[in-house]
Amino acid sequence: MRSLIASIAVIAMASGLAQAQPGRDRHDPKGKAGGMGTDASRSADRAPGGDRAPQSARVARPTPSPQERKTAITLPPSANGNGNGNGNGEDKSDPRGPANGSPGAERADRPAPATPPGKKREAKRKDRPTPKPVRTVAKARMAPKPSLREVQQFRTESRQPLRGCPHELDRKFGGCADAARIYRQAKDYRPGYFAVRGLESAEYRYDEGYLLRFAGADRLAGYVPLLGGGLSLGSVWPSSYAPVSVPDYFRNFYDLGPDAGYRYADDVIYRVDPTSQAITAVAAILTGDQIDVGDRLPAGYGIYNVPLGYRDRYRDGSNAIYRYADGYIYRADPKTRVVGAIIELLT
Amino acid sequence: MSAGRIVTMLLPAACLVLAACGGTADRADEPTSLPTATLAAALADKSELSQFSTLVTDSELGSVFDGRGVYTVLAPVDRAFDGATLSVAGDMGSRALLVAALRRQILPGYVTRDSILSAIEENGGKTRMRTLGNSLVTFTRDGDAIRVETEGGESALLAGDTVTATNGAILPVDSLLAIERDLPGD
Repeated sequence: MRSLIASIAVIAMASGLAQAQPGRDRHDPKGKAGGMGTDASRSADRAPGGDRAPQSARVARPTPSPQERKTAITLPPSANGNGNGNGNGEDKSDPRGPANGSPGAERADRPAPATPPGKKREAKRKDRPTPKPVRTVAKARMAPKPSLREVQQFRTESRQPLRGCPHELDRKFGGCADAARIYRQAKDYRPGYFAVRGLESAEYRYDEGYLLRFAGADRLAGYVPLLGGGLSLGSVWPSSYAPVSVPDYFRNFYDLGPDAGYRYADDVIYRVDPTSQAITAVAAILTGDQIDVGDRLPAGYGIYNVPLGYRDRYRDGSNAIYRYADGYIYRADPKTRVVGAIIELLT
Repeated sequence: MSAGRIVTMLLPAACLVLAACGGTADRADEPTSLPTATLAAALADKSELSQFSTLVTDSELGSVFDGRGVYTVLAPVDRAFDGATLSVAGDMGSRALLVAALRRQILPGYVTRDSILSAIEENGGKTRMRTLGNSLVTFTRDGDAIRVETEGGESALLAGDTVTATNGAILPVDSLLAIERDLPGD
């Protein structure tokens, strides 16, 4: 009996230790990253390489060695208690969430700031500990510090419609002088159909792979080349579309190489020939969702979607849920859906 | 304190701690072996998805499904294309429309039938997922099946098991969903 008691005690202690490791999260000196608490479900948030109880029932799969960083932030006081009371909070807000291109509307479902927005943002920066690699062994290979602001600025990069007459319209209509004729023949597809944001206030029609901006029914005021249309493989990147440098994290994650080898427009990253500027491939399509620590997950993240290889490490639990988008895993509170950490996945 | 009483106290504690290690999400749909093919290769390899695979090639999105980004594709099975005239080869005007439709059938991340079912149950009968086309799709139960509906009102049933790939998953569906049956050409 004594040995039985001892065995049980050892099992409990060992498991407790395994759970306790994340509680001493190196990224959160308080051991409460994102205010997620410290109970047993933190197993889903275990640091890579940390102690882990064996899971014999699982399929053996290689453990990825992501160069992960967590940005743990003390949640604003208002982040608590704004959930929808059912433990998920999904889809109760603006159904389009931040995807409608209107910054004001994008953040309408955010918890009310406890301080003025500017001060809140400043406070966030101060509270935010310097991100550290989960595994120090990976430190030497860490990418430069990601700038979330840089990512968001990159994603909201807006372009003015190009001026002139696209080659395809020139060929089809013998030039763009007869704009009324083009208007009549162009199809009534809106910019949103093509996931192009920020153009809904103007009148656009569609033809030959371009969104055509009209000023009235008889003047063509500009055009926007589209993925698969004006921006298809072999097309030369429009010279007036100035290159946008993507954040280092995206450059590494999507393996983009030097700046001259890729271009970005409307949530799509293209590979281009550095010399000819011809599009050679589509490297990635992004959601374009802007999710920061302290934000609520937008609508449309109700389903667990963490990539294979990370699902053991980042598994939904009673204290945290995990969602993937655009190369990041977002850890959020299951009740409030407020994001407490953003995790990079670099291998 | 008797030994039996100590055992009675420790057992539940040990079980609770151990149970917490496993998390709460359903793991039934985890693949039993690691996938070796990318999404593009997995699409090309599935005979019942041959028409959709051709569309992906024609749309010039094959490189996306061969890349580092992780996506789940709602892929119509071949019988969903019966009567459709979908040829975009060399037609830039139609291709941009096709790409726009395909984007509304691509979800971020790795989504499986079981994770959808779990989310439906946890969210009171339906759950939504954003797409790479700046829109949402809604999943609900339809008897024993799962129905997916676009913002435009097109719907389909998930048809078949989740196909796993190194960079995502494929969920076969029984209709074209957002893809227009007759793409307007010139």
